[in-house]
Amino acid sequence: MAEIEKKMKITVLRYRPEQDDKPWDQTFEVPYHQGTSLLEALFYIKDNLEHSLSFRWSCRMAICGSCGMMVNNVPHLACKTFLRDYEGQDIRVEPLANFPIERDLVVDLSDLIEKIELIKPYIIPSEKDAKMPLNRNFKQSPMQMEAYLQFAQCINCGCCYAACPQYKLNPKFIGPAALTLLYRYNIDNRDSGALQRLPFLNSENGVWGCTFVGYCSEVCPKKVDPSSAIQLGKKMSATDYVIKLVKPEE
Amino acid sequence: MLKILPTRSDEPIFWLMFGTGGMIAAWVLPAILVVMIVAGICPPGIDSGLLSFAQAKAILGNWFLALVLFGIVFILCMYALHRMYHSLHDLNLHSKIFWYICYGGAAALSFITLGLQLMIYCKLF
Repeated sequence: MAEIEKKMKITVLRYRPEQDDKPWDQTFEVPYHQGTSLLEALFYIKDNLEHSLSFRWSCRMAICGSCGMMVNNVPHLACKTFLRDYEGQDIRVEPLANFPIERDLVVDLSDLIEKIELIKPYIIPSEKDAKMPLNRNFKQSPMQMEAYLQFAQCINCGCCYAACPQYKLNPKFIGPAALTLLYRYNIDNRDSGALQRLPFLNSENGVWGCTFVGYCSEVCPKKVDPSSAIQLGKKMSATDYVIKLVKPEE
Repeated sequence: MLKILPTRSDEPIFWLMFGTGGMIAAWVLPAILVVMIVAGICPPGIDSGLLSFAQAKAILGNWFLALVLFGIVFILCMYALHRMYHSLHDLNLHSKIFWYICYGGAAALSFITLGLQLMIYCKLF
């Protein structure tokens, strides 16, 4: 390679539960070129400098959502973050904020997973549709797909939860990714499970826990725009509230 | 995982007022302010092309328009203090007292407006 290799200082927050009382910093010097991602830099550290460093990764191309971490205090996917964008600075890598640390850069995402499970993120067919043969197609117009497609791009990386000040203040808040998925399935024309999901949307820890700070949309590596989905969810919840005022039963 | 369904929040009432107030603050308030300020500062005998002082006073004295203006002022108070209440939450200041201060404040400002409007309607000034 004709490119000159440059070097960058990368500080990683380390925590090994069996040895360390509390997290501590370890700094490495990593060579990089134009195309080096932060994930590759971590590979370099693990292969050459510190074999015990732990971090999650899988696809290396922003599809799996495993390598979410704080880079200079901003949630990023390590595979989508390039060292060239930090030229002239040092990088500080920490595990995703607002989640308990398991080891080094690995966090415990079970709260996120439980919340995503809670809102039933799958198509619930109507009784009529459920009786249809499995090979039957469900029609959906391009416009109907357009309505939810952006919100369906979520890869559950947890960056929005690390960014969300409401989740930090109140861990019971259902949070950006799960509320976005809730909205995404509620507006899908093939779905009939809206009534099962609405109670979560309508609750204080649902869309009403959001004060529209909008940082989730800023950090989202897949441009899902969760804060927009939550505002649309507020509209859905307010409509439902007014309808229930007029028509209490059902 | 949660097994019991969570209770419904009453936030939609305040959020709908907040949303309406935001639209009014953006669309209606600037026009009202321009018309009323021009009517207030333009000396009699000079035609500003907008309302004269006497015309503005007549509008404030009309019961229907006074009601509309009261609605606008009320919703704007709710809009401003609702946002303030939630900003306090963002600053990690949570207390039921702030709820009473903010929404009570909005109600108090609305009552003051109503009082002033009644005084104008009864030609007290």
